[in-house]
Amino acid sequence: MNRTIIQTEQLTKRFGEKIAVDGLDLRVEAGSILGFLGANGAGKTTTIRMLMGHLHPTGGTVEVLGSDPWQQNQSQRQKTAYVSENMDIPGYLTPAAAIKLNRRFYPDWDQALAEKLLEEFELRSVGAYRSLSKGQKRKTCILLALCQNAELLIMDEPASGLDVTARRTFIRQVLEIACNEGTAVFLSSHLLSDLERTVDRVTLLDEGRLILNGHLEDFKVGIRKIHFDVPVSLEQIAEQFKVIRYKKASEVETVVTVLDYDEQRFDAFAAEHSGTENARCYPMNLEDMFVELTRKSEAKVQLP
Amino acid sequence: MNKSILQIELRKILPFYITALVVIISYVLFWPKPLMAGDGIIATAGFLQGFIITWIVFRDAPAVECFLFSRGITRQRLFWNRWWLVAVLMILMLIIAAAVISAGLRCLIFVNGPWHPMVKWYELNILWPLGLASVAGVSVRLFLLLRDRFLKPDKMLSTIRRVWKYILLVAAVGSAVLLGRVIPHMEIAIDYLLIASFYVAGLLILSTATARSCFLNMEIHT
Repeated sequence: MNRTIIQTEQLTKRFGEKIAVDGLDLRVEAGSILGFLGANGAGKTTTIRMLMGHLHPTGGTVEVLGSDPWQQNQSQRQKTAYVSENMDIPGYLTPAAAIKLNRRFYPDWDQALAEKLLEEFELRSVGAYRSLSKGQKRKTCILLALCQNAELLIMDEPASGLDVTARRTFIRQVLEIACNEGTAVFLSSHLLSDLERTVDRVTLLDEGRLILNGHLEDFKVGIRKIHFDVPVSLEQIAEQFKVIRYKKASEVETVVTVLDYDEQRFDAFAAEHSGTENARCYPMNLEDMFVELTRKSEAKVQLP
Repeated sequence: MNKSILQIELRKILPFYITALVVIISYVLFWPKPLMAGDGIIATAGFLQGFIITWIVFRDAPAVECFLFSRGITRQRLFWNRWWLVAVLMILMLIIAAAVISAGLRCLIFVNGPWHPMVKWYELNILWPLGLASVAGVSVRLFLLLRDRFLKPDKMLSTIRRVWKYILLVAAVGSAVLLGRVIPHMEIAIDYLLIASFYVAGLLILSTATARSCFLNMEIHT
């Protein structure tokens, strides 16, 4: 088993009456890229801020690289790289000057990579940070994080505002970093197509609660939308599968989304219920899964 | 001191510091009357200088605060880096003021004045109000850092929560007593200045300790 990089137990954060994060149990191992998903206000950024030691948890525990982020010493802090959507470097610094300034914080700084990314992101001859476009600012912050040679890379909406080329460079670089078995990447983004190409594990939050956590490939195999051309009751389908969403589309049509689709079990189900053998079964990409799992509707009947 | 932090802080503070330096040293150089320990103008300037320097050094734009507080440096180190920078800037101001007086530059300017060409060493007493007021300004700003953070929904150390108002009370009452007793006698009794020094030192220690705890525990909401 790989080393645990992030571990939270019953992590909770309240802002007054509002519960932003509700009893989150999370474990991220070295060598993995975790996609941290959720709708706006689901508690992703609050969780990340607690991982970074920017917010105090109201309850539960959080450990990053084996210690409480509020108690980490300098060398432990140097092993975490962080990019947030709202982060800015001092406005008078050019990207090259920011590299020079930032590298002094990190003994393992990768200057060769910094030079390479300066070229690829076309940041070498741009002006001061305050005069850059939103995309160039994001590129600068990403560059500073990627070159730290950190053991943990935490990124909160890093790619918002990036053009396609820069996003590809970013994804390639994240994948290269994750090839290092000692490193974990914790990536929160609404760009699900990018995440799908990058992450191997997915965690989904909804209203502060964890509703899905596991390997992306397992979910791709297991989560299916099934169209029945005959009426099927929720009880019937729930005997065989974990039902995420159940909807009677019409008198004769039923649409069900299940979490744990399996061909053999479906055959068994079809054998028991006549007329269901012609059901159409659709695989789902990450975006479909996200919508299906977080869509607010009474038809949502069960979450794992 | 971390070079990067020093670079960031100096960039923030130098425009104001140089302005303050020019203003205070100009006063020391060009004030036509003898400089005395009870100089209210220099005390006010010193207080404002300490207050504003501390405010600029310890304040960050929210997005930059997020950047700084996620670097590979502990909050403890960041706090002390900033504290020492403020201290060094205060001390530098005193040294320059002392050098200007000791070098006899005032004698050159007031060459036709009644005291030419003597250096009047008693004028060094102006360092008292300048230094003490600067430290008081730093202390007040550090207290306000604490108060500002209390107004936010942060989790603070419960001990600070309990004692901070008493510390402020002591500071306020002490300041009033000090002003009432010391200023009228400043030019004639050095003992009062020593009392004031102890008082301001105590104020600085308390404000530093509480501000440090606040700094180590404050939440970053950006």
